[in-house]
Amino acid sequence: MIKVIIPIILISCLILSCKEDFSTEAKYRERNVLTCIISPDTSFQAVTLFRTYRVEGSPNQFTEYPFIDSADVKMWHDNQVYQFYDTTLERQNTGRYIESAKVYYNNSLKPIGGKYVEVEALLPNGLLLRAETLVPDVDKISFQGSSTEISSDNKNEIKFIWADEQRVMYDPRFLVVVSNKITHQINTVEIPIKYIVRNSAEEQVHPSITSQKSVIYESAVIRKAFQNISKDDSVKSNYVIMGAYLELMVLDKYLSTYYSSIENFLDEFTIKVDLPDYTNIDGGFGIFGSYNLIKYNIAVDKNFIKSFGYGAGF
Amino acid sequence: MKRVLLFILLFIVSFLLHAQDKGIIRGFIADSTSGEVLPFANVLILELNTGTATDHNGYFIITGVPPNRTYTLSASYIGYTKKLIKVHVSQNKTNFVEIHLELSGVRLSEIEKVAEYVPKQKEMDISINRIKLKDLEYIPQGVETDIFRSLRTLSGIQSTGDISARFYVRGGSSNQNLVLFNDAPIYNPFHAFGLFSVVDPDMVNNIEFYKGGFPSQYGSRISSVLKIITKDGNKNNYRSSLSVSQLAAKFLVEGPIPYGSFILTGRKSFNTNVLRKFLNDREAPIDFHDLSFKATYSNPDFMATSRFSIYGFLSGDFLKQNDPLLEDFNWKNNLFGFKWFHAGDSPLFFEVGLYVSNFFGNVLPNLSSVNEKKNELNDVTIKMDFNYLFDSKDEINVGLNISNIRTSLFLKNQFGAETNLTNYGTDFSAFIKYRLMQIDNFGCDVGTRIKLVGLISGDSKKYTFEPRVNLSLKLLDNLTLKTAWGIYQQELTTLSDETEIISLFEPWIIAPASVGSTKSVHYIGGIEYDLSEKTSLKIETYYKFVHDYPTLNNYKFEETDPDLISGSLESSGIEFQLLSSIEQLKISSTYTFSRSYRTINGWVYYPKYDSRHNFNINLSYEFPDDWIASLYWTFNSALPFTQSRGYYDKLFFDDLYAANPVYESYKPFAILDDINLGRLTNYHRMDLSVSKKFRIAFVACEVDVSAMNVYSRKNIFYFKRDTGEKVYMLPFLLTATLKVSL
Repeated sequence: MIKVIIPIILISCLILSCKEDFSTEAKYRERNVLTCIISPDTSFQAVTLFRTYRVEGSPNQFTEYPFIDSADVKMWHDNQVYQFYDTTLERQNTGRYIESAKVYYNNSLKPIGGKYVEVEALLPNGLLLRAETLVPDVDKISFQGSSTEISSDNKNEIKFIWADEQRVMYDPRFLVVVSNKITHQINTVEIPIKYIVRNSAEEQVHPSITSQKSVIYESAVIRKAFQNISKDDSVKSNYVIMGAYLELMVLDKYLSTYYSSIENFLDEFTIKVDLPDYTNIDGGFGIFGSYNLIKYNIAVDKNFIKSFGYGAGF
Repeated sequence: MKRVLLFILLFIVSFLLHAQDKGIIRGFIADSTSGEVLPFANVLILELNTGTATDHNGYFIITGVPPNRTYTLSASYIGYTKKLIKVHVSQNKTNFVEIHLELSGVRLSEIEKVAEYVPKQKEMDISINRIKLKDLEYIPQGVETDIFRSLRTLSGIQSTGDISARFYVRGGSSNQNLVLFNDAPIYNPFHAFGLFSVVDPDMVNNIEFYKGGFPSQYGSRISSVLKIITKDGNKNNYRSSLSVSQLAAKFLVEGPIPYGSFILTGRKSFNTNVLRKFLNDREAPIDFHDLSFKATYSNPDFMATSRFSIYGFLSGDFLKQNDPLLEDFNWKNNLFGFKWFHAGDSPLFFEVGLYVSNFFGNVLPNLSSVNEKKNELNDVTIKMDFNYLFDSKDEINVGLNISNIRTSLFLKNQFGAETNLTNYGTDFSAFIKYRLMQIDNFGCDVGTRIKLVGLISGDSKKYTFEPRVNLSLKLLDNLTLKTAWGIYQQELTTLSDETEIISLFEPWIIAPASVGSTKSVHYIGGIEYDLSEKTSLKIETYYKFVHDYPTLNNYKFEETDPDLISGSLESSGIEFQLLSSIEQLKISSTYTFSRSYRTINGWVYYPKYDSRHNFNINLSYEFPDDWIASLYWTFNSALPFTQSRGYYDKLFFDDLYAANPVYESYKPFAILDDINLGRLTNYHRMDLSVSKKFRIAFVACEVDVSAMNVYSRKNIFYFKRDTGEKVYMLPFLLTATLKVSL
């Protein structure tokens, strides 16, 4: 029996070792993509419209810019209609596409918090993409319970807490306004939540977009950030601290979900072959979202400022 | 609940009072050198041509023996010299014998026929594989001898490739397999991303593996039962061994204690470089360990016919990346158990067990963007199992199982939706089973589990029954027909993401009431045919339907969306197993044709492990002077995958404070086709190994050299959608293991 079995195995191995291939692609059907994030701090809003594409092998080899020209793009906000027009923009990073980037824009839409913005894009092929976003109402957000002053008495930490009925994502940043007496420039310096050492070099870690409604800065980190303001300058008195505040970006619910779906939520080792997609665009892919900003001022104790040799400018 | 307890008490008392007109022979069969019990050994009364096989405790009992005569008892076991002893049987008396068998110098094949005779007569269970530690020596072991990976040589077992030791039985998912360490379940039985199983084979006495149709004493899972029965430890001498592989070092210590024995094994990884071969050359700083122990106590002056044992198992896996911007991982299993086995003067014997088993796993995000995850499961269980044998050889078996289980889970999915669940439940189940053995050539095993209280709170269905029937008909001396039918139920589940092909976090939870318990029906039929004295063929066909099959909701956008959605699964197949031995050559070959379908929300698709054709062949040859050479070849037809319908440029951003990203922060993103309609390429692989046992002075040594994937077949693992790159599984790998015993 062994004389029969072993040749069978060896022949099977030879036959089955031949190169085989398989197609990673299913039948293609063209779809369309609308992308827009409404910014509250500008009246310039931009929309991109792309078509989907098919490519053999790596999608990074696809170089034909898939922008959809000649679409009719409109937005509605606070009982007004805004017509969008196409324009070209110089690319900072050419990447796969050589030709200039294109967008549909309108430079008179400054959104109001708590109100909807709706978009419709009528494509040249007659298809309609539509979506809406509710611009976050930041007036309802309260910072009750947050630290009120940066001082030497902050033994352990400065804490910012915000109360908001929405279950959305936030992007906080803690800023110090610094004036330079020599250059007469006023800059903002962001305080990190941590300093770490990686590959023998010190790096700052800043808060990432989060669903948590608080952020904590250790006093030691704040002191180090204040020291670093004049790190390469021996004349500390050239620096004047003008103030400090927490700037909080509030994402709307669609943008929050979208961000969660694109951030690197997976660990280093898990391999997920089928990433589910998220979109709020009726009739296509992409995202139509918005965000809003709110500031919370925190006092800075003069003695604390003086301990670094800086001046107090408020 | 009181009525059930009363019924069981009355049942026990009535059988204890029941007078036996005939004699009983009972006892243990053990290895003469170590005192280790020999499960599934054969005992035959030559004069009556009747006999039985020992159970997993090495215990046997023969009832209905005509009294006042002296009989010759023949005890045999594969690899041991048959022993004949004289026993005088008195009326209304239980005659106890303890038989010690000596290792045989004779080749295995010469005694195999005798050794397998009795179990085949008695065996009624279908879809069961009994694996002895010796059997693992005939399979190329690779980096580490692995019990789970060795299961792949059996028919009906599917896997998703070299990277994971997870196994899928007859279309069921891996969380539907009950893995028992003695009597206690191990909830996360894997080391290193699932690459290896946690149970050290050196600790194992034998393994019982039910692929379906399992009897009513087993509950809480719906696909399979893998019962790992550990050694008791050497009762006569102290012994220790050390072994080193390219991955881990391990030790074993065993020996006698007053009125008993103990065994302790431990394993610790020391070099994970070899894992890079499994992980496509990626660095994986995994650190794992496990520790197992068992101690038994049996004092003739204290409850003479009782045997007590305590056992435990601890394992831990840590993945520490030493980078504050990267996440760390931590998994732990802890298990402690106690068992009291009692065989009285009546034909009643029972086991009472208590165990605590828990699992803890978490992902520590540190300063990375990875979402924190944490899962904990605590299981405290008391179980009782009573067996009574009638003079007619029929058996009745009743038992109780009371489990208190608490699960807690915190995680955030890819859409930022949180899951924060803590559930606590009690499972109070009873079972009864009657085994009809009095009719020649026909056997019937009828029983049911009764769930009196379930784990799922709010589940309105009370007193659910899980009836099960196994039938066996011996048509000819060499031909047996078997069939089984049963209903099975499972209330614990994992949040397993089917779209992950390597998953580090598969948390256990009590299924939510919205999904309910998962129910399964098994229909199995089979033929066992001895083609010759040394060649046997087994053919089985099955159909399995699973209701309320929980599936992870991959589109949970809001916290209020369910974590799991309910679906169903249907699988069927036919399996062939051919076993043969020609002189010193052992051949084991299996072929399986199977089909599985899952249905979720009206969508029907193939599960990721749905390979239609599976063929395995294992050849091993025992040369003189303790050389063993083995060859293993496996073929699996292509696994399903989801094709892409094309790509689109998707916006990616991580800082909205910077310039508005909509201008150019785009990357290609795949648009998925309907799930798992494509097929990857076929998988096949050949492994070879050579092992040699030898002695240097008083030191016994064993060297094993294995070559995995000898013709370096490029078996595809997956392809990266964002680059189109194909990622392959394990390339050619040469490994060596050295074991030294004192």
